[in-house]
Amino acid sequence: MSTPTPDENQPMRDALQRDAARVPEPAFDATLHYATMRRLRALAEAKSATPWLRRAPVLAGTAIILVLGALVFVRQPPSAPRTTPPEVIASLAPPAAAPRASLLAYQVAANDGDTALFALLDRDATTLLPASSPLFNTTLP
Amino acid sequence: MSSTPTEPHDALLALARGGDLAAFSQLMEELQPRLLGQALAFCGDSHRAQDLVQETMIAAWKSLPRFDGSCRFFTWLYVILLRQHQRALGWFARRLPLATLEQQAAAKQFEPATAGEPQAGGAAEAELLRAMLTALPPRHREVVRLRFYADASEAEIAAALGISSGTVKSRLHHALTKLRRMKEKVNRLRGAAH
Repeated sequence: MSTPTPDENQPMRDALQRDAARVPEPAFDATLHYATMRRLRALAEAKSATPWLRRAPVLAGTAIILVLGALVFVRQPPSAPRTTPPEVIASLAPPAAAPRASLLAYQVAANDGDTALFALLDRDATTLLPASSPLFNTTLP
Repeated sequence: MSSTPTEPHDALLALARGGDLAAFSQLMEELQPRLLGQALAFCGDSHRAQDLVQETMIAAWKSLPRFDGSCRFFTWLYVILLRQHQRALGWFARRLPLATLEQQAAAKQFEPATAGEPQAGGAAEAELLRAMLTALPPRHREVVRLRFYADASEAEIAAALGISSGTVKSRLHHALTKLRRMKEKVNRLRGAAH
């Protein structure tokens, strides 16, 4: 009868178990949790709005708006001094509560390639400066 | 798998899988400290660890309908955490060659806080062990972390990674052998230095 060979890796198993036991469990980070939940709520809202967007001919609509905007811009007399209304200037500032992707999300997107990175930037740009912003209805000074 | 691991969060999980964000929030409130501790242990920097946990939670919410309960929810979350870390590490490795050094420096800062014990040797050994873990191939590192740090059984790891139990055993064996050889090499170098 042969004696069982001792597991050469057992000391390594023990060392890993000791190290795992040393990993601390920090206190609950409420700021992190609520920031994440804000992002998740924004995602859930965006998801619920997506079916409508899918049905709408988005590209055609955007093209029409761009053409109309260009026409309005061209037909406006240049003499009148144009000032940007304060509410438009205010709308340029990012809303404080707007959930944005974390630095890591940008890193991961950059890692995946330019398309993913630009998609993420587009998404955040849409949140920070939505198409409904008064800025898009007023010509710049 | 023949038996499903008992899950203390069954009711919340069922609600969350049905799209209940409040239930998911409650689940994460319970699991976040453990997840954050693990993230801190393998990335060494608190801001990066927070980012990592945030991305893990978001990825978990997106893929929650695919969670089939064949492993514990924490094990499943831990796999997401590891994969997110791996992806971020890929970016750092390509674009910031000093990231590893930075990580090591951060780990040094982190060590004294983790170990309240008096022996400095324990902290040094832990640091060496974590550096050796970083040097393992990702698929080997993944099973070691799941087995020892997430306390998952081999069957659970197999279910969470979508591989066979035999593959888990084999990867674990190879990983432990590689770690042992690295340790032996370090010990030889230390012996030669004295």
